Amino acid sequence: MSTQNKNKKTVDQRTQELTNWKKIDQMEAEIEKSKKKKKRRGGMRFRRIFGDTVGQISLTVLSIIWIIPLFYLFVQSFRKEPGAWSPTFFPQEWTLDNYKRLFTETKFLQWCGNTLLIAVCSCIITAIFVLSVAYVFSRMKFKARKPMMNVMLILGMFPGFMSMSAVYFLLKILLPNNYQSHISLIIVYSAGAALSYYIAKGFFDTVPKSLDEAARIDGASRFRTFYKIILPLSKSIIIYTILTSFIAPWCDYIFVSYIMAGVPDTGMYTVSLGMYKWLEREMIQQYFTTFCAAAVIVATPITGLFMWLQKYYVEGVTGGAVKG
Amino acid sequence: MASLSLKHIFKVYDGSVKAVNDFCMDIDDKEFIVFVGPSGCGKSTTLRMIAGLEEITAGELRIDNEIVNDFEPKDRNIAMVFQNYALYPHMSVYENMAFSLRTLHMPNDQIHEKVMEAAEILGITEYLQRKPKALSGGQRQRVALGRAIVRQPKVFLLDEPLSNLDAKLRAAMRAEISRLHEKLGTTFIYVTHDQVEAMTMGSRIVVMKDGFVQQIDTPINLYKYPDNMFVAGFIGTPQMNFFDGTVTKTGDDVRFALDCGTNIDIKYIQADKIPVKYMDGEHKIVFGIRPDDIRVYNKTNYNDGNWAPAKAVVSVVEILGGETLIYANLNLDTPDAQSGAIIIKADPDTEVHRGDVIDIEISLRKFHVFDRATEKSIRRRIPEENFIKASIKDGVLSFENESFKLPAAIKCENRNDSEISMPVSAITLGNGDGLAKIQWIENIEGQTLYFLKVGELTLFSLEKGDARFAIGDEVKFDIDFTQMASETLGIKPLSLTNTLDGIFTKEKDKSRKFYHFYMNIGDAKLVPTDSICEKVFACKGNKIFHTPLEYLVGANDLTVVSHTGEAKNALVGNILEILDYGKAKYAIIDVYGQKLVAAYDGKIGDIVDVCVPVEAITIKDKSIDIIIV
Repeated sequence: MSTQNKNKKTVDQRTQELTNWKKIDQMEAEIEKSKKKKKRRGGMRFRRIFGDTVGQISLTVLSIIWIIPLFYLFVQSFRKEPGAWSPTFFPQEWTLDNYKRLFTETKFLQWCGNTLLIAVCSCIITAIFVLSVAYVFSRMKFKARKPMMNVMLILGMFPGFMSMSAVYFLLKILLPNNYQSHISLIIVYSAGAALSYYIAKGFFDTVPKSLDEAARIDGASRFRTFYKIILPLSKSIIIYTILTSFIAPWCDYIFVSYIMAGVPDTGMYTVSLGMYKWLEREMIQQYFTTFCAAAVIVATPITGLFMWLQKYYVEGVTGGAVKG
Repeated sequence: MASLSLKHIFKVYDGSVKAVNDFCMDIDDKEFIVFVGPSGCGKSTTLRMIAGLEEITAGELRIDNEIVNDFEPKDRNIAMVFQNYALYPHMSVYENMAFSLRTLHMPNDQIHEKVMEAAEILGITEYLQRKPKALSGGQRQRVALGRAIVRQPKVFLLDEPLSNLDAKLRAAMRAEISRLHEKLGTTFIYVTHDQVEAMTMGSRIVVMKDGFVQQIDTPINLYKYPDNMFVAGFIGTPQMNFFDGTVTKTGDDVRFALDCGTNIDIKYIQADKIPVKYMDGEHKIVFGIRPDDIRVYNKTNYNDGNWAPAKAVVSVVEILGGETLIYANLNLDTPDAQSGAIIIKADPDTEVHRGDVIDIEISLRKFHVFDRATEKSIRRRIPEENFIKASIKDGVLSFENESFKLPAAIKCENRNDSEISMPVSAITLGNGDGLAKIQWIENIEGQTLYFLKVGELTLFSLEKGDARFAIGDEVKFDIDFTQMASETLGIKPLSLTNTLDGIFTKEKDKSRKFYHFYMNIGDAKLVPTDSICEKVFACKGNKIFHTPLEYLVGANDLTVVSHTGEAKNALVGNILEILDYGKAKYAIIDVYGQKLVAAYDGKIGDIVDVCVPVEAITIKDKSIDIIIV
C-alpha cells in the first residue's frame, strides 16, 4: 500500500514538474510574441524602393560593360572565317568546327586533365594548410603567435612571382631529376598557401570560443573539436578556401610558363600554357578561333562552380568581417 | 558528489595584472555556492580556473582531495553551463547532449538512456530532434543544463546561466535550478552578478570585488552581518543607508553624531561590540542601517527600548503595493541632498507626501558601524579585539581591580593611562589571575563568544566548541601577553610568522646532467621537496630564478639546536635576544642579517642551527605579492 502511495506521489511530482517546465515555455512564448509585435513597423518604403531601383540599374549597366569582352570571346568561338582579326563583332558564318577541332586535332583534353590534377591536388593540400593554420592562430595562444602572424601577413602581401627564380632553383635542388613536372607545380601552388590564412582566421574568430570550451569540457581533443564542431560550422569558409585554391592553379600562367619553359613534350602542358602558345605570332592566325572555343570551355566549370557555391563564397568572404 | 578546496588561488595576467587575489575556500559536498560581484571582480575567472579553462597562476585546487591544477577539464569530472549556452549549432538537441558521451565511446543504447533521462528531468523530450536555432532562450539553456547532467559530474559549474533571459523567465528558472540542485544532489558553483539570484539560490555566497574575496557566508549572515561597506551595500535592495559621523561614549551612554545633524543616543550595552577606541568622538565612522530596519513612528508601535527616534523630511514616495519606499533626508533643510539621504521601507498604508517631516525610528538591534578609512565593519559578530585602559606600575598591569604581572619580555615604563589591545582569543578562561563575571554567551558557528564583565569593563573571549560556562558564572581568566599590543607603550605583539627574504637558485650536478634546486636564505641553501619545485615552476617557470622571494615560516615550526654544522636544511645564526613570556620563551636570532623568532631558551650570543621544515614554508613572490606555495 505504502509503495503504491509512494509511486503515486512520484507520478504526481513528475507531472507537477513537467507542468512547471511547460509553464516556463508558455511564458517565454508570450514574451517572444510581444517582442515581435513591437518589431513590426513600417519603414520608409518609398526611399527604399527608389534606392533599390537606382542601385539595380547602375549594376545592370556595369555588368553589361564587363560582359562585352567575354561575350565577344564567346561569339568568336563560333566563327567560321579563319584569321585572328574579324571586322565584325558577330561572325558572318557560324560553325561548331572550332570546338570539334579542339577535341580532335589538339592536345586540349590532355592539358585539361593535367591542369585538373594539379588544381585538385594543390587545392586539397592548400585547404588543409590554410584551415589548420587559421584555426591555430585563432584559438591557440603561444609565444610566437603574434610575430608569426605578422611575418606571414607581410610575406603574403608580396606577389608570388617575385620569388619565381628562387623557387625555380629550389625545385632544381629538391627534385633534381624532374623539376619540370606536375609534382613541382603542385608543390609551388600549395607550399605557400598558409600565408593566406587571415580570411579563414577572421572567420574562425567569429565562431564563439565558448564552443571550443564546451567541447573541451565534454572531453573532446583539439583535433576532434576542430573536426566535429568547428569545421561543420565553417562550410562557407571551407568552400571559399577550396574555390580560391582551385582557381589559382587552374588559371595560373606565370609559374607554369617559367617552370615548364623549354619542355619539349607539349603533352605535359597545362591549359593556360598550351593555349598561350596558340597566341604566338606564327600560330595566332590559325588558332585564334580555337583559342576562343578553348577559353569558353575552360571558363565553364569555374563559372558553374561559382554560381553553385555563390552563397557560401559571399558568406566566406564577409563572414570574418562582421560578428554574427 | 564532491568537495572542493581552493587554497591561495591567484590569477595573474601578463605577469602583473591580478584578476584573482588569494582566493581561499572549502566547499562541502552538495553545497550550492554562488560567486557574486560586479563585473570584472574575478568571479568568472575563478569559475573558469575550477573548470580548467583558465590556468591557475598560483595556489592549489583540490576536487575530492586530489590536486587537479594540471588536469584537463575532462579529467576533473566537472560540467559547465555557459552564459551564451554554447550549444553546437549544427547538431540536434539529442546530439548536443550525447556529444560528451560519444567522446567516451559509450555504447549507443546507454547514451540513449542517459539522454532520455536528462531530457525528461528538464522537460525537453519534445525538442530532442530540433536544432538549437529552433529553440527559445529558456529551452536552449535547459539543453545546456542537460548536456551537463548526462555527464553525471561531481561538480556543476554555471556561469551566469540566466543573464540572457527575460526577467520574468529568470525568476521561474531560478526556482527550477534550485530544485534541480536538490534532485541531483551535486555540488553546484554558480556565478552571477545579480544579488537576488545569489540570495535566493546559494547555500553559501562568495562576494567578490576587484579580485578580492570580500566575504564568504550564508545569505542570511551576509545580510545580517556584512564584513564591510561593500558587502553591506551590495546585498539587499534597496541598498543600506550610510551616514558619516562619529561616536562618543560618556559613561554608560553612547552617542552617534551623524554629519547630517542627527544624533542617535543609545546605551553602551546596545553597542558593546564596537571597540571603545572608536568611541572617542574623533574616529570617522559610517553608520549603516537597512531600509527594512527603520519604521515610521506610529503610536501603536511598541518600543521596547531598541528603537531610536529621528526626524526626516520626505523627498519621494514610491508606492509598490506590498510596501512603500520613502526617500527622505535626515537633514530637514535639504530634502534632495545626497548627504543624509535615507530610504525607508514602510508599511503600504503609510500616507506621507513630499515635504512632510516624519518621525522615524531606527532599530538599535540591527544597525551597522564601519570604519570610514578601511570601510570594514567595527560592529562585528565576533569582535576582533579587546581594548583595555590600564595602568602599569613596576611590571604589574592593572585595570578594574585586576592585576597581572607582566612577563619579563615586556619592558615598559610606569604609566597610568595606557591603552592596550589584544585579540579576543588572547583571553583564556578557566585559570589565571583575573576574575570576571560572564554576562552573556553567544554561540557563533561552532565557536563560543563570552561577554565578560570586569568591573565596568566588558571583555570578550572566544573559544572553539560549545560553552563551558553559564551566564552569571564567575570565572578566572588569563591574558596571553604575546598577543598584547599598545601604541602608547610601544608594545607590539610577538609576530610568530617569520618573513625571510631569499631567492630560488639552481646548480648543475657534478655529472652535469641535471640540476639541483635550492631555496636560498642568505648563505643557507634549503633543499625543496619535489612538490615545491613543481608548484614553483608551474607558477613562475624559469622566471623564478630572477624573482625576489619571501619565505614565510611559523616560529613554532622551527627547531633550534646548538650549532653543530651538521644539521640539514638549517639556517645558522646567533641569538640576539631572549624573550621571556613566562610560559614560553622565544629567541630572536640573527640569521644572515635578518631577524627570526623561534621558540628557544638559550644565552644571548650563542650560535645556533635553526632547522626549517621545508614543507611548512610558504613562498611568496615579493614583486607582485602572490603566494606561490
